[in-house]
Amino acid sequence: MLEKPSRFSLGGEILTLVVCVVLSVTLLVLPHDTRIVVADRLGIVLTSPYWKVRNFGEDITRTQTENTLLKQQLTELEMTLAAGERMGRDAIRMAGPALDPGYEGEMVPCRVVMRQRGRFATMLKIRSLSPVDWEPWLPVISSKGYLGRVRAVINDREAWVELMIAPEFALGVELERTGLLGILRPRADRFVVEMIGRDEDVRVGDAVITSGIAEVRDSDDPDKPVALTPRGFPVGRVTEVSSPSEQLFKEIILEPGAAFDYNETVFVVTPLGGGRSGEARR
Amino acid sequence: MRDFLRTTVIWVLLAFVGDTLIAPGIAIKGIAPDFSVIALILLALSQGAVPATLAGFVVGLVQDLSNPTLLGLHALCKCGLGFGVGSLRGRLVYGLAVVNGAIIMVAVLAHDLLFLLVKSRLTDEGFLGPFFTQSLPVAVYTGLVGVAVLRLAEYAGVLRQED
Repeated sequence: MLEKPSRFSLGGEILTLVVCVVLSVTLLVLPHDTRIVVADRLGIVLTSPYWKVRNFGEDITRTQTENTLLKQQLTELEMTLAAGERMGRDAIRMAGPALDPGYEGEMVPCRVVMRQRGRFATMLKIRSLSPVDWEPWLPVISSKGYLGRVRAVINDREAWVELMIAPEFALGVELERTGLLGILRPRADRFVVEMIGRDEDVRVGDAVITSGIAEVRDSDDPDKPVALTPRGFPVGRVTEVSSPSEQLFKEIILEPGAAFDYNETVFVVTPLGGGRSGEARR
Repeated sequence: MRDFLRTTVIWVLLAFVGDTLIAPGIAIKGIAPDFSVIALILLALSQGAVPATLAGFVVGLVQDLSNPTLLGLHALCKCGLGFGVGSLRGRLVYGLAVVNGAIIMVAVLAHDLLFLLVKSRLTDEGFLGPFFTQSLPVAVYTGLVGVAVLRLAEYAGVLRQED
C-alpha cells in the first residue's frame, strides 16, 4: 500500500474543511452584484498576473509571426525589383534576353531554431511556419543575402541548412557590375572569389550575386543531386582585390551580406526557376 | 519540507499548466481531462487532507473567477473533494493502475455531481443532461490520463511506496 502518515490531527482536518466550506458558502450566498465585485477584486490578485504574462507571450509570438510575413513580402519585393533592374542592365550591355534575370518562385519564411557548429559541418536547423514540400539543395537566404542551402529535410516543417561558411562549400557567383563569373569558397575566416582572370575589371565595393550557373566538377557519382540556385541573390561585396604576379587569377576577398552568427528569419526559395540555373558540388 | 515544496510545485504546475495549456491540446470533441482534479488527488494522496482541502479551495476559487455568478461553487466542491480523498488515503490501495483510475473517475463524478446539483438549484439549469454528456466522458478521460500522471508522480518520488 502507498501511504504516508498524516501530520495533522483529525480535528485539524475537520476544522480546515469547515473553514473552507463556510468561506465557499459565504461567497455563494452573497448578493449577485456583490459577488461580481468580489470576483473582480479577487481576480486582480489571483489570476490577473498570470493572464498578463500569458497575453504578453502570445502578443510576442503573434508579432514575431507578423514580422516574419512582412519580412517575406519585403524580401520578395526587393528581389523582384533587383531582377527588373538587372534585366535592364543586361539589355544595356547586350547580354541578351536569354540571360536569366533571376528570382522566380516563392519564399517560404522559416525560423532558425538550432545552430550546429563543427569542424566538418556548420548547419542551421530551421522551422517553417507552414508545411513545405522542400527538398535538399534549395537555396536559403536572409533579408541581407545568400546564406546556404537545405542539406537534410527532417519533415515537412523542419530541415537542416548548410551555411556557406561550411568547409568545401562552393557557389557560382557573378560580379553584378561587369557580369564576370567566379566561384565563391570559404577560406579560413574569409570568403574568396576564384577563377577571375588577373586582367579583369574588379573593384573594391563591387556587389557579388549568385550567378545561377553550374559549377560542374568531377564526381564519382553522376546521380548525385545538383544544387540549384537561381541568379541574382545578393552574396556580398568585394573588400580586397589584388593581382599577384605569379598567378593567373585575381585574389578577391568578399564580405558576405548575410550574418551567420545570430538568429533571424530566413527564407527557403521554392520552387526553383525551372531548372534553368544550377550549380553542382562534388 | 523539501518533499512538501516539491509536491506543491508539481500539483500547482499540473493544475494550472494542465488545465490551461495541455487540456485544450488533447481535447477530443470538446472533452478534455480535468487536470485540476488529478492534481488535487495527487496532493491528497501524497500530503493528506489538510493541504488538499486548502489547495482545493484555492484552485476552485481561481476557477470560480472565470464564472463569477457561481463564485464559491468550485471552491466548495474541490475543498470537499480534497478532504474526502485525503481522509480516505489510509484505506485506499492506490498503487494499482486500476485503483488509481477508479479513484480519479469517482472523484470527477462526485465533484461534478455536487457541482451540477447546486448549479441546477441556483440557475434552474438541467442536471442529468450535462452529467451524462459531459461529466461521464470527462471522468473516463481524466481517469485514463490520471493513471499515467500518478505513475509519473510515483517515479518522481512524489508518491512513495511504503512497507
